[in-house]
Amino acid sequence: MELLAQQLVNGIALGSVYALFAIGFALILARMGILNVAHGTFATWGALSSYWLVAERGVDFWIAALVGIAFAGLLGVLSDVLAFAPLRKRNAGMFAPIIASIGIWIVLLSMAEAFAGPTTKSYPVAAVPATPIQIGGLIVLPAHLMSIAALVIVVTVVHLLLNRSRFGSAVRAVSVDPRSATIVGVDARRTLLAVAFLAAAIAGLAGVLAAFSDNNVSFGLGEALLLKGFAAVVVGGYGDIRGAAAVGVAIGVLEVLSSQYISSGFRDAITFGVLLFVLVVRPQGIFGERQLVRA
Amino acid sequence: MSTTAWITTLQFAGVNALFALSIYATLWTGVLSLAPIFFGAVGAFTFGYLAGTVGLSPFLGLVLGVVLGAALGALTAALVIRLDSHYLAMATIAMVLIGRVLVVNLTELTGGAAGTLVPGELGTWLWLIGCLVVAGYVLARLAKSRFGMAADAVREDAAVAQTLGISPRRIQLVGFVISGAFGGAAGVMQASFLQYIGPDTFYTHLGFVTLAAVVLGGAFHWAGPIVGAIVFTILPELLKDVMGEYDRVVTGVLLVVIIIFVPRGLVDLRRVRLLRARSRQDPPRAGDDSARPTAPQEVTA
Amino acid sequence: MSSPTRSAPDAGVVPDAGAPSAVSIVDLTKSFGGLKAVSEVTIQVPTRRIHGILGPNGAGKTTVLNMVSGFIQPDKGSISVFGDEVTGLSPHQIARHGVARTYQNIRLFAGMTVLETVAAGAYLKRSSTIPGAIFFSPSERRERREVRDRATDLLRQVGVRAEPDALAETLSYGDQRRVEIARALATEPRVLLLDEPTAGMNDAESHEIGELLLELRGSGLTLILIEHNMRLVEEFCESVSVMNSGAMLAQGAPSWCLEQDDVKEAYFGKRSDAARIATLRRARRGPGGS
Repeated sequence: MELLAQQLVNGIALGSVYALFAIGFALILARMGILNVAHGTFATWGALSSYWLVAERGVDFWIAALVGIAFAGLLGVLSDVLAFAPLRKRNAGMFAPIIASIGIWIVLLSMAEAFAGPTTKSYPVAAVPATPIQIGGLIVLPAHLMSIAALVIVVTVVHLLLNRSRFGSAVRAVSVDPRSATIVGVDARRTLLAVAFLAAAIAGLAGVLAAFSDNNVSFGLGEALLLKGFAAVVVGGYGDIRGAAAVGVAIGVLEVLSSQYISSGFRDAITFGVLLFVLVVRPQGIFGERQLVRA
Repeated sequence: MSTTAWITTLQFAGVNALFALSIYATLWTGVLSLAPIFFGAVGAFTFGYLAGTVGLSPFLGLVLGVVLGAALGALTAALVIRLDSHYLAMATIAMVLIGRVLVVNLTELTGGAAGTLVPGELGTWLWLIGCLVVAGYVLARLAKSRFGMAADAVREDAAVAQTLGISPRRIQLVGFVISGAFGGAAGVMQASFLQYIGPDTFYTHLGFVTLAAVVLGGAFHWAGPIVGAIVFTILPELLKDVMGEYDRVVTGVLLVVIIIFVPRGLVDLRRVRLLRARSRQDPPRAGDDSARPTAPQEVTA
Repeated sequence: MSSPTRSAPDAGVVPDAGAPSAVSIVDLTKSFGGLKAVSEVTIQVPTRRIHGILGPNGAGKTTVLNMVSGFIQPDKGSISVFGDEVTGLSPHQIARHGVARTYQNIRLFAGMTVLETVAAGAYLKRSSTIPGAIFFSPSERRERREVRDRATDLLRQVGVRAEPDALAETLSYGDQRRVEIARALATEPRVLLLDEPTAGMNDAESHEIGELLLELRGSGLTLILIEHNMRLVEEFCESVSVMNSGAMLAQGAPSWCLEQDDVKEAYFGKRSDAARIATLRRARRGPGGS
């Protein structure tokens, strides 16, 4: 029983990272209409840059984490300025942004590979908080605690930001029709850039937490997140970030429990099995708000 | 670059062209799918396994690749065609990523992380060009057929195509079957040239390069992917001397630049026709894009 | 607007018992997020009739057409074509029942020539298979020739002046509309729905379209058109339905309908005097009027 409770905590912590990633991914999909496959590389670069600062430059872990998150956000803004904005201006349809995002994915992934090399690295032991915390009978790692706390904070803040603030109504107006939004006084350009920054920065946060939790930094870090995040968005929908976040947590729990009680080799296969099942059985999404193509 | 290196590069350009045609087959019907990489993996590993255990002949391996690919294409279509195009694209990318998980974990069949050896009898120019000619011929013949015109219509405006009695899903199913057949064949050919296949042979990198080839060459004519594959396989090789390990960065940047500035690719019949129309009519008349009503479509999803 | 729709006694809007309508729309209702776009609309169009749907912008005319062609599923009500219930079918199935249409904002296929555009409409009339196409069988070759000849004939019939191998999207506005009609006719429909077929055309061109409508009716088609050009409606439509704010105002002969007070009001509005004066002033101050 204690083992189960412990594994549940581990699963929720892992799932929190997936959920964070899914929130950024869903934000871009819902508000900008872009399926951004480069989103995983934002997480990778968030982790890589913060790791580099800690390990090579001796920067304090917390500051490095903040810089890493901001750097990921900046990459998101750059992607939008250089690739998505010109396509938006030309009204290029829906394939063009996917293809552009694949281009960004290639660029950021191969640069990450060149930067990080083929090996995986870990944070210097002394530089990161690592002392387990006893809560009741459970042992919680600081990384796990941070992941769960970060998810709670981000979900709350982003939800309030989107639904209760002026910024949120600006975002909604722009995502429906940028031109009319401009007429009613919303700065469409700045709003979209803010969304791009926010989404990529959340990906960066997920990347930093993923690297910190596993104590494992590599250029492929974001790819695993991309798939889990995608699964969470497919199952949970992207209209409301809370749906994707909840499913992200569920995927983490499912993974940890299945590798504990079934088999560790196929823990990815189980996630994708669930994903495929949902796609086939309920193409409109669990919560039904996903629109079907009118084909 | 030495002559042998050039020949190898050109051979991979040929295999990439086959993959690119496989991507084109679904794109023609308005579906962005990276599933061909997965079809190729299944064809190649099945071929490798059967050649190693029961001594399947290479030619039968190729036939098997085509049949298996086509069947998988139909199955994929049945599963994903209902999805919104974003989800559909992502689901096929997920197939590629899942393919690697399967290859690594099904050790008895695939050799796991170590990979497996494959006989190389098909790895000749004759077989390669033969496959490309057949694939190109099939697409060229279909271009103005009943299916081809319907595919064009579905891609350009699926809603209007429907009012002409065309069922987009049916057309897309056919596209997936053709895509599967080509992808399966491309996988077997790739395996024959490499004579070794592992978890990373049919992975994202191959998907990127072939998709980039289709986009560069043009996704609106069957010759586009072939031209694109040749350019896009040779270009990084040439750049390797200059760019070193950053050659892929150029691939990515090119992809973005092309989709922004030459969205219909190098082989673009529409541009040819537009130019012809302009040269034919000297007195300006409602001739260019600005004359085309661009009002938002009245029927939205 | 809850008063029952008035109909002219002699308009033939209510079909004779026994003779099935070409298109029968009963109690059609559709809301978009609380807004009633179409409310309990009933229209009966007998075979070989040119029927107009009139009304100011936002009256719900295009929504009715979109429901008939299957793009939008009605919340309530039913649609049948020659006695076959088509409510809930998808657009391509409805097309197979012999319904074709054109669009208010012309929707041609980018990159296709004029001839290809019309040939694409012949999908239902072609029977060739994929193996037949690949091996280029004699029947495939014959069919391609037939499709091309038929498309050429249709282009001539609708009066497209441009070259058949010109890019359709480069044609003049009027020719683009005619190509769209030819594409719809290539499906060999029994019912043709036209959404503002003369929008952007001058009087002479509009009249040509009117003549074309008569000719098509002569060959057995039933035509339903949304139209703003009153002269065209009075000259060529045998019956009309007038809609406003999603509801039916009046149905019957065009001249009778246009005499009704609430129809006039829907069209010309009960604008306040202030607004009227403002409009007049603007017209006077403007450099050349309209």
